[in-house]
Amino acid sequence: MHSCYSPADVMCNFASLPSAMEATQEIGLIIVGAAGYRGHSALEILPKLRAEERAKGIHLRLVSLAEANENSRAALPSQAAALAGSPCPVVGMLSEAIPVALQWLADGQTRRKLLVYDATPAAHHYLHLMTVLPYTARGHIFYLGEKPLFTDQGQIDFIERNFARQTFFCELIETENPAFRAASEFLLSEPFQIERMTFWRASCMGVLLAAGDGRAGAEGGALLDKAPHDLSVSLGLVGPRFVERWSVTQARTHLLALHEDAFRLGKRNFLSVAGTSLSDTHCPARIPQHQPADALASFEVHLTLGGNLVVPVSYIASWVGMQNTPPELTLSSKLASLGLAPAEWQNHEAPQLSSNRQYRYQNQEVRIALIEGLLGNRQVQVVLNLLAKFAGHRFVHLIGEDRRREILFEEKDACDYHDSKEADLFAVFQRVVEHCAGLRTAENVATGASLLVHKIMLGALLKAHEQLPATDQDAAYRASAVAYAK
Amino acid sequence: MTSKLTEPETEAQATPLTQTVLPARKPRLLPPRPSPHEAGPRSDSAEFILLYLPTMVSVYTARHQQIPPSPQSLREHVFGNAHHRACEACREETEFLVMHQKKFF
Repeated sequence: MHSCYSPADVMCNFASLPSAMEATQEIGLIIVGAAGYRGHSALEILPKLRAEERAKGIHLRLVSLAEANENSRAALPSQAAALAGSPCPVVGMLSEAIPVALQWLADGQTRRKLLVYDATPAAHHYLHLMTVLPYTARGHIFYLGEKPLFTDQGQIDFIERNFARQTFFCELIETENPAFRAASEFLLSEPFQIERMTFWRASCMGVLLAAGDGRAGAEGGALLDKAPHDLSVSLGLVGPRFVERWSVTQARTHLLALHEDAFRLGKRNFLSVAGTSLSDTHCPARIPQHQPADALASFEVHLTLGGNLVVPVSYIASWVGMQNTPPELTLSSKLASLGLAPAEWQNHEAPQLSSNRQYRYQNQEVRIALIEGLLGNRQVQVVLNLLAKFAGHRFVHLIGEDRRREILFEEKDACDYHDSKEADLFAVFQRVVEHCAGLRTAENVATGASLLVHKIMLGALLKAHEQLPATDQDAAYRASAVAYAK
Repeated sequence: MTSKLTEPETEAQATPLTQTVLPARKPRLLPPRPSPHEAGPRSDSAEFILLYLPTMVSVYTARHQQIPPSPQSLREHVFGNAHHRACEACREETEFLVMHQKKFF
C-alpha cells in the first residue's frame, strides 16, 4: 500500500452540488474487490458489455482495478489486459484508485464519466460510498455497490441529509431477473390491481459458513443479505416512485445465526452481522457491526401508494433453508392450494461433505413470490419463481380461481446458475452505464429506490431486534443449533 | 425436511451445547492519551491516509451526522490526544472496520 496524495484529498470537499445526468460517450469503470466472487463476474462480462455499448455509441473503458488481497492482486493485470483489451493500473484500495480516476477524467477531450463498482464485503460499502460521493457532482464519478449499501440507520440519515440528490446505485440484481421483468411487464400492461404480495427467499449460507464453506465476505445474516432482493422486486413491481409511505407492521427473528465456533468448539457463539463471534445478544451493540445476524426472519410491510391504496407485503428471509416456521407453512399451503407442487419451487442439491470433511449438509434454496390481486374483476395470483439453481428453472405463472395456469414466462431448460447470475449482472451494468450516459434511467437501482429498499430493511431489522433482550439466549441457541442440524 | 449441518457419520445431530452464560460486557472508558503520537497510526502514513481516514469519515458521519471539519480534528475525535478524550464508540468502530478490511489483505 503506498500513498500518493495527502489527507486533504481523502477528506474532500463535501459541499454538494446539484447533479445533472448529461449525455456522454466515454465511461470509465473501476472495480473494487476485483478478485472476489462478484468482482470477477464483473470483469468477465466486460468484453460483451463493451461491444454492446460500442454499438450504441458509448465507449466503456476499464480504468483501474482495486483488490486488497495482495496474492489475488497478482493475477489481475493479465486478466484485465485479456478481458478489457489493454492493461490498467491495479491498486490495493479504493482510495488509491481515485487519483487514477481523476486523471482519466481530466484527460478526456469531451465530458467523461466514471463508474466505481464495489464488490467488497457489505461492511465496507458505506465507507466506499462515502469515498466516492464527494466526487459525484463535481467529478462525475458514480458509485454502484453490491447490496446492502447501508447496515445502520445513521448511514442512511447522513446520506439523505447531505447527498439525497446525488446519483448512486445499488446493484439490486433481481430487478434484472427475467422472471421479475416478465411479471413487471404483465402488471403494467394489464388492468391489474395488486392486493397483497408474499416473498420467500431461503439459502443455506448460514450453514455453509458454519461448516467452513462460506464465501469470503458473505456477511450480514438472512435479513441484511436476502431481504434487499425481495424488497427491490416488490418495490419494482409497484414502481418505487409510486410509494408514498411505508411502515413495518411486524418483524420477527425466528432463529439467530450461529458462528462456526458453535459447532467447532461446542460454545454458545452467535454470529454478528460482520461475521464475528458473539456470546451475548442481550447487551446492546456498541457498534452496529456487533449486532446479531438472523438465520431466519420474517416481516410485514404496508406500502401506501397513490390514492391511499395500501398493499401489505410479507417477506421471509432465511440462511438455514426451510424450517417450517408459521410464515413458511402459511405460504407453502397457499402455494399447494394453487396447485403448485413443492418440486416446482423448492431447490435442493445432493448432500455433500464440507471441504474440511467435518460436516455433511444439504444445500436448499427458495426464491418464490406470490402476487395476489384483481385482473379486471377476476381474482388471480401471479407466482414468480426467481431461482435458476440445481434442477429449478425460472417462471411466472398466472393462476385463476379455477387453478388454471397461464404461462407468462418460463425458461425452457434449467440454465446454469452462474450463467443466469452473470446475465442478470450484465443487464444491471448495462442499465447503469446507460443511465450514466444519459440514454435511459435505472429507476429500480438508482438513489431513490436504493434508499427506500434499505430504509425498509433497516426498519424491519430494528423492529425484529426489539424483541432480542427478552429472549432466552440458551433457548435461542438450542433452537438455532437444531435448525442448523435439521 | 432435509438435513443441513450434521456430523459426517451421524444423522441430524446437533452439536452438544454448553450452558454457560457469559457475563455481559461492560463499556470501557478510555483515558486521555498521554501523547498524540501514541494515538493511532502516524498521520502521514499510507495506512492512515488510505485505510484509517476513509474509515473514520464513514464512522463519524453515520454516528454524529456531521461532516468532519478537518482530518486533524477527526483524528483527535477518534483517537484523542493529551487534552481530549477519544470518542470511544467512533474509535471502537474505526478499529473494528480497519481490522475487518485487513482480513481481506
